[in-house]
Amino acid sequence: MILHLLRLVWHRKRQSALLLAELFASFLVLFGVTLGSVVAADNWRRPLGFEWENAWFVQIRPSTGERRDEVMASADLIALRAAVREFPEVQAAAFIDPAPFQQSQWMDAGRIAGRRVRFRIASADDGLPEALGIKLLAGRWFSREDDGAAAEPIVVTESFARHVFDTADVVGRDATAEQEGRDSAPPPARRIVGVLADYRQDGELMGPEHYVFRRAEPASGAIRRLPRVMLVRVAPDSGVALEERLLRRLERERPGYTFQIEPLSQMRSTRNSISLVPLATGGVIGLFLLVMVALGLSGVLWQNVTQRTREIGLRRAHGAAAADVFRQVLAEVALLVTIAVLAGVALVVQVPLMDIVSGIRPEVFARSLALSVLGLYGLALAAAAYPARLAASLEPAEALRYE
Amino acid sequence: MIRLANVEKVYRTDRIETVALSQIDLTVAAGEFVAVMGPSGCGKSTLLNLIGLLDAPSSGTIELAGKPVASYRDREVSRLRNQTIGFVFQTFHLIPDLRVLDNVELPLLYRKMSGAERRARATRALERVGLSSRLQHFPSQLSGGQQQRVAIARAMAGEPRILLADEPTGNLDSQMGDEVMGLLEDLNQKEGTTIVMVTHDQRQADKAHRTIRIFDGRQVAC
Repeated sequence: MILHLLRLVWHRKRQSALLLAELFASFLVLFGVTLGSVVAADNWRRPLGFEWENAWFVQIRPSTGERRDEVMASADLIALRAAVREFPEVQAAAFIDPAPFQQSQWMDAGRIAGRRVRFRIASADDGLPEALGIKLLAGRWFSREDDGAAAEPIVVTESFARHVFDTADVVGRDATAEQEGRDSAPPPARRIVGVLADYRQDGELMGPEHYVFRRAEPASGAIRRLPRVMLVRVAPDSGVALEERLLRRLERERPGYTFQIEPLSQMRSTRNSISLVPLATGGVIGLFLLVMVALGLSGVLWQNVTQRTREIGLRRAHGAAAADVFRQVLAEVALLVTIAVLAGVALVVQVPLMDIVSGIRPEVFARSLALSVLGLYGLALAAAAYPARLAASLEPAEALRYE
Repeated sequence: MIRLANVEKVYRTDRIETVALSQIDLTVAAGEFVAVMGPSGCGKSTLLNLIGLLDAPSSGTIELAGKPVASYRDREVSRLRNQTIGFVFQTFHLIPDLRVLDNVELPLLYRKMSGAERRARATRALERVGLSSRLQHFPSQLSGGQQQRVAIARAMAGEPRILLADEPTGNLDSQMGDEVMGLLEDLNQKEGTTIVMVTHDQRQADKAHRTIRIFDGRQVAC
């Protein structure tokens, strides 16, 4: 029967072309929507690399309006950190710039160990792991032993290490980034002192990126750019009252500055909402297109069944039961879906093969592909169900008389 | 082989009730060749549809091979049609997008049969109607007579015990009509296939064992 249907589809290729084109386009839309959803779900399940619960973001700004580098002093930051640590509810406090979920980023790029790499970079002081619950895979975080080091100490994520060195065992390696095409001064030497499993500054919906932390410890005295954010880890259930007391204490400690406190959980919600907008928009547009496709498909199949009324009557006369006719309509659609899917898969596998979109894990890609294939079969068969039922309900004698 | 008792067929719409057949009592013995004649619209094709289980009577009973078919479900009726009855239509009813061989295989698709056996039986049927050289042609590449021979081959491929022919020569010239009639007579005489044929042509009806006449939905003479 399958061969018979294949022959039928083949000899009707002109009539089938429209359906095939529609199914092919649907597959691409479905794959796009599915890939976006699966990537987002996969990102959501993966660890962020830090703990945002019970952590507060404290923005520090000079109140006079001058550029902070001209007026901010390491001594101010050290005093502010010490003032915060006085509170018994405060478990840890550390400087970082930019902070998690903050809408700013620093990028750096260059050739390290002969391999081109583009990565995000943040400055942090020696107490960040405690304040942000960061755990290291290997090596150590910054400490006093880095004071006066010839090479700037850095901590990198595992993805950075594997991209540059093909291994996570990189502690002690030189990671000086040679700037390509620039005749400026030689780049500062950098040496890896620790490796993190992951660190995703933009939240759960964003994929992993190559990330590097450099040391910005105000107490070290050798700091090129002062951080503007302090992260404070507080005891669970600490609320607005503590926030008020902290704010007053900070203002008393350094009246020349303004401070803004916001829980990281709140920043996370805002960041995730922003990240969700393009995903949700794409998803809604994609679903709308798919509903249109399903309705269109149903209409085309309905017309197709009407045009083939006499053929259906003939099949019924020669022994096809109503259930056989129903199955035949669905089987023909399934065959067309198979052809469209084969063409679609041949096209979308070019994405990982040609490295068009980076950062998508092979298993995520494969899962998206499988779900899209199943989804298209489901969509097309659901759209075909009504025309198939109409075809099956035709009375043989009436169908044979149909003009 | 075929028995109709007090069969009536009424078509009903919201406004009109049309009696297509009324008080039909008919028995066709196994191996008989029966012609059904009557003016256009008298109910000949309706009678054939009822015998072929393509339609159900409004009242009365139909028996095939001694079994009343009224209680049969769709699957059982379909199986009976597939294994016992063959159809030949005036307008051939070939599927234009399928080659001749695929058209002839059609009834066999609904039987448990290997593809090779199906192909062999369809090829044999086409050889019998003299179209072995046209297996890979499409219906549109054949003459009317050849198309009707393909339709007969399709009916023969299933080796039915009953063949129902609805004006099989109606769209053919007399020479082609005679060829088709020859095939039907051959099938009846050599295979013992029971044939019920609707025709307007007295010359073709004379070749049958007997003629049933229908007028205004009623059987007027046997």
